Amino acid sequence: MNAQRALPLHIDGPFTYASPSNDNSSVFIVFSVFVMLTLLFSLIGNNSDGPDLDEFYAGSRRLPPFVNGLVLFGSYMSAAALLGNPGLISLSGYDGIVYTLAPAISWVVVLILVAEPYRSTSRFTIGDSLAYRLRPRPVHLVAGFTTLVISLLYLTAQLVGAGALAAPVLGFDSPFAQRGIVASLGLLMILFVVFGGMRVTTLLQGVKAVLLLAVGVTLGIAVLWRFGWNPLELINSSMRQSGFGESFLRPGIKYADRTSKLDLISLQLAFSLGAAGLPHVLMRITTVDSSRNARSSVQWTGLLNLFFCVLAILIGLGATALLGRDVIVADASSGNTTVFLLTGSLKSAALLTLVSCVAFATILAVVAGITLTAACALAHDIYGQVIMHGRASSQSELLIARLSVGLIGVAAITLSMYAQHLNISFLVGLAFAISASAILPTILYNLWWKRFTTQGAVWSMCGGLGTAVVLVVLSPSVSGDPAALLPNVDFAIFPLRNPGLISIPIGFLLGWVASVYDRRDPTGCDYRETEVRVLAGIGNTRS
Amino acid sequence: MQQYDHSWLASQPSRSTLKTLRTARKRSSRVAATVIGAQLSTVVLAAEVPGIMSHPIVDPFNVGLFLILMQIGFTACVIIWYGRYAKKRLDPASLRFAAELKQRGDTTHSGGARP
Repeated sequence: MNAQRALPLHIDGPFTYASPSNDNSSVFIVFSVFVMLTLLFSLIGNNSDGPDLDEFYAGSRRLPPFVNGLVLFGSYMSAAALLGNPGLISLSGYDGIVYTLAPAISWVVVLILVAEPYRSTSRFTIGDSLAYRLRPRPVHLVAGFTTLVISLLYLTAQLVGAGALAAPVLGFDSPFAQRGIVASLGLLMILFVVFGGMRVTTLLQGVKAVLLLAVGVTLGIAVLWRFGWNPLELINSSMRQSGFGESFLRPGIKYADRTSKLDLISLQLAFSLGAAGLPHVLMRITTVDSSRNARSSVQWTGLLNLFFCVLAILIGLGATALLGRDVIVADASSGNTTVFLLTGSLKSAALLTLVSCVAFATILAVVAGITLTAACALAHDIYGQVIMHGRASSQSELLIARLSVGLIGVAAITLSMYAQHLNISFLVGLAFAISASAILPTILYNLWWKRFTTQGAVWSMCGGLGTAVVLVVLSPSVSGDPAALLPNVDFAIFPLRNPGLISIPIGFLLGWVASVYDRRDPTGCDYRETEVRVLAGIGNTRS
Repeated sequence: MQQYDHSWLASQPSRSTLKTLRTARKRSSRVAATVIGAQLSTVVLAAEVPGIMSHPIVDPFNVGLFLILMQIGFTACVIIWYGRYAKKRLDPASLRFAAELKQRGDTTHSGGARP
């Protein structure tokens, strides 16, 4: 997601972008049409004649590279990419642009170091890729557990964001109505994934990606049109309207003091590396039929992310230039309503309805992908490989997978309802930090280092995960700050809000130390066949 | 863990093809590290020496904005470059390697995850 940023959108302004009567209903109608059409297409396309794990987890791996790239883009971009990033840029100028860029840059790591070798060694999950050369049970257990943790953090953040959107978009101010939105989206997510698996998730994410791009391009063109197609005029105007003058596009508006600068570096490190270890991104890489197609998919995703990053910069600066920073801050101090304000200023009710629907569709598509990934980890890694020792039948694993979707969905809905009015904006950053600290080191070592061992994998994942979680619990995100999760207590002894700066090096270090000093496998686990698959991209092609 | 016969890897053609692939992969890995390094360097420079990053180049661009634009362009170029590089350098060697495997009748690598 761009993931990018913290949905939980903290929308604290009085502005309602749709009138309580007519426009609300138009958002409902358009979103319902989107949901119905997706269901209809998924039923039409369902020619499966029985339980099939490949179909449920990987959509039979029939997607062409460009389509998979587009869907991967849809899976990665959260509502925060559409709403949060332009908002941050409109308020913070240069600092916001730097913040937005890192998750797009990270696709170079996915493309060059991960996509092809991962596709060649994994069937469905991270555990599969590791178990190719390491001892299966421990790595399936730890990889499955880490995937579940990341997925739950992410799911909760997304669903809380859905509730936060209910007030400004639909005019639902009461906590009951907001929780109703969270429950409805969560139940839709469960319905889609239980009955359609990866096929319906793909459809949701593909349609959402097209709509997201359409909205982004329309707003970008509208902004440029307002400034006579002259980007220099746009930049100059944004500086004037920001109230900061030239300082608006210089470092230091958001990250001024020593601690916040370190926090920015930590967050950038997590975002720059984290995408390459996100379980739902890795799962999507396995939905094409070869490592070469995985490479082409990720190429498209990387370029689309960069393109959307440029659009976010245009939209963010355009909002400041056209509306003025003071107006944006007065509406929501977080800036998360910037896109709605900008769209409203264009006087197009249809576009405003479309933006509102895309925001909800984005959340639905992202949570569906994450839920499927978490269910796959629970059913395939933990049930199939750890509990059943790899001897579970397809039918029983599929049943467990569908039950897991319900279980994970209900857990995420419950957590999100509880957290609806808590400040949990650190959760997405934490998910990226865990991904970069626990999963990325393990995957890179497993694919590229012949001395790597099972002990190294377990230490790296447990150490990276544990360090990231403990540091966040001891950070100002959880206590000791008026904006913390628990503002009335103070046990914040770690000064940074994102743990990546410490936990990522620890994850890599533990993987290395535990492998080098592993007495059971002193020269590393057998790397020959993995190396052939990694280097030559041979293996796991669709038969 | 199930063991496979890897004696075919000792043959000269296989070793030479693998060496070619190793070298080609190392080069692209360095490029990936450079992109991430450039991004993190920009952030560290902005945090530590904001004065330099604020230095104007051409109105309204300063060093920081210029580096961001360069980073976006550089990253896009690397993504496109890698696709071409892989087609030109990695794919032919991979196909050669696959043909060698096929010639030896090795079915271990034909597909499917290890059970």
